[in-house]
Amino acid sequence: MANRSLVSRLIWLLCSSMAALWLLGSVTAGMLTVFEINERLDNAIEEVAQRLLPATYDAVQQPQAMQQMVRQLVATTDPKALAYQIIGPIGEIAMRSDNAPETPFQVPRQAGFHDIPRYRVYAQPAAADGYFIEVAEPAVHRSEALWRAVGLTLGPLLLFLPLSWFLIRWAVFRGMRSLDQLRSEIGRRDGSNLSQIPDMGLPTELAPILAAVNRLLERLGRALAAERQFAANSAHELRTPIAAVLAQMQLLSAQLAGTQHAERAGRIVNQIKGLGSLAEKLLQLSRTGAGIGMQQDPVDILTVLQVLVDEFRRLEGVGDRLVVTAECRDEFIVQGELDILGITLRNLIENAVRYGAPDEPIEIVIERGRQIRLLNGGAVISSETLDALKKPFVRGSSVGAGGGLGLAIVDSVMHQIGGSLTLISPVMGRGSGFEARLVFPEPT
Amino acid sequence: MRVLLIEDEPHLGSAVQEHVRAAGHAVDWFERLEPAEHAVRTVSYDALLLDLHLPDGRGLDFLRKLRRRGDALPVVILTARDLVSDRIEGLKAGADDYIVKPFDLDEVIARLEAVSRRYFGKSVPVVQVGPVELEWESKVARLDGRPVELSAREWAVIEVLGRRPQSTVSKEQIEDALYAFGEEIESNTIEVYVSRIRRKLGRDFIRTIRGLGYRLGD
Repeated sequence: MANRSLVSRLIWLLCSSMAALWLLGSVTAGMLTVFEINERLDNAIEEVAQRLLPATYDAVQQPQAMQQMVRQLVATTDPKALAYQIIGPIGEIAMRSDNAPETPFQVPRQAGFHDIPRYRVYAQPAAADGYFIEVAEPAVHRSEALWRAVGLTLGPLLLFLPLSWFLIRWAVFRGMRSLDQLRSEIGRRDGSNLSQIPDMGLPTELAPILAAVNRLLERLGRALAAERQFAANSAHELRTPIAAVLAQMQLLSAQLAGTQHAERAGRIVNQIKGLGSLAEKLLQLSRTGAGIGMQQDPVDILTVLQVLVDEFRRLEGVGDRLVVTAECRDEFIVQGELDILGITLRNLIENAVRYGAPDEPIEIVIERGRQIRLLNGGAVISSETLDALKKPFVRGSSVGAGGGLGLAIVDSVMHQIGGSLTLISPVMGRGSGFEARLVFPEPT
Repeated sequence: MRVLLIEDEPHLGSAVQEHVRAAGHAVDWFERLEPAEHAVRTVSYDALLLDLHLPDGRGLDFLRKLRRRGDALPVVILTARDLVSDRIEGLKAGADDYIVKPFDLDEVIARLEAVSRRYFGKSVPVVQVGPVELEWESKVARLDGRPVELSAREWAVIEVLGRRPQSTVSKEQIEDALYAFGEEIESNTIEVYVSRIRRKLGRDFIRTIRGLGYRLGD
């Protein structure tokens, strides 16, 4: 019950409530019908006895004429029809209908109704002294009449019960359509879509929910924008002073060249560079790690790669070592955010530059199967280390000044966009090297 | 060459200025866009190092304005913004290169000179002037195959002349390229440098065009 849908709960509750009400109504109607029919039938017996009454006296005096009259009154031998007996003063049957038993009804000589097996008898003193009129209705007739009446009352109700189930189901589904639309609209909202839900003409009960969700979306959008602005400002506020310290320290280091302090100055320069790199990675991690807020725009990843490759080729020691091979030359559309995808690819290229063998090429292969492979030379990395590399602050090599965050960032982004990052070493078909393989989902 | 530096962080600005100057270039450093705007209109700079976040405006707007009026000054952006979209925006605005803070000072020099070389047709890495061979990128001069040691200023004078190898460059143009605002220049400073270069690379390496200036030999 806990996991059943609201619609099925409503249908179940409405149907069961309605069935209970119908049952109660039917029992009441049945009881009233039985009461009413009994009353009517009793009235009919009484009326027959009343009609026999004035004729009884003459009939006692003229039995032949009475017999004729009775035949006219109750001219039947039907066992289910009313029967009568006129009982004489000493209990003999003075007259009876053809369908009446030949022995007197075993009822007391008292006016009123008496129930005996197979009959309901109405007794009434006749006009002639000592005579009694007894009109009897066969029990089978009454029970048949009662069952027929109850059947006619309850039958249609039973017939309409399944029809009611269909109607309730239809009505509930129709009534829930607004809620369903609202649910569907809310379901479409995520990190990439924080747009306001349009006015759908919702019922008054749901309108406040829509308003509350829209307010929440607006606040969330503002919070995410503030977070992005904060990340951008943080980048400026952190990097600029680090850049100033690094620049001043480099000058000092140059001035100390050849002195006993030169080595220490050089170490400080390297530490500041490491600090700068760590600050950059932490900013990237905070930007990509939360997941929420990433836009899902179509981005041509070849454009991103072009910018990055151009940038990295200008670096000392990289240049033409960075080789790009593209099987798809036109475009490679990925659903995501330009800058986040840029951070992803930058980290992979940086990784290859930092840890790859300096005398071997760094290859970027863009394949048709929505894959981008980055390959670099270097020693084989064990499978245990490869597994750990996607975790933050894990480095595959002590060589290089990385913070161990780059691949964790890449992995996080690829998960968010529904893709994957696979790390392979050695490169397939070679005895050494490292490959990072990105697989992107089809754009929607 | 003469470089315009616009950077509002004083410690960073002073370090960049000192380092670029030590590499033989003149650097005019401004912390705000307004005086820089005035300077760029009055002085013929060879390169611009431009920060993007400045107290009186955005560096990109300054750059766009520069390009709109047809100024082809080589521009290298120095910025803390490292996103691909920032880079694309910077390059679209007319920047020639983009360096993200924190940076290595030598990297700044290398990028600055690379951009300058692209602009002034020194994409040919080695130039032969008589018996002298000049390697622009590594700043090496060889006389008859033997490397000759030159000071940063001497090399800077050669670069100014090498930028327009078939043209005569006046003494004032060389001074402008070598000395920033406020730097003391003796009246015969350029003659002294030319004389030193001739001593090291041969008398005919720099020719004097009387009354007009200097040009590289041949």
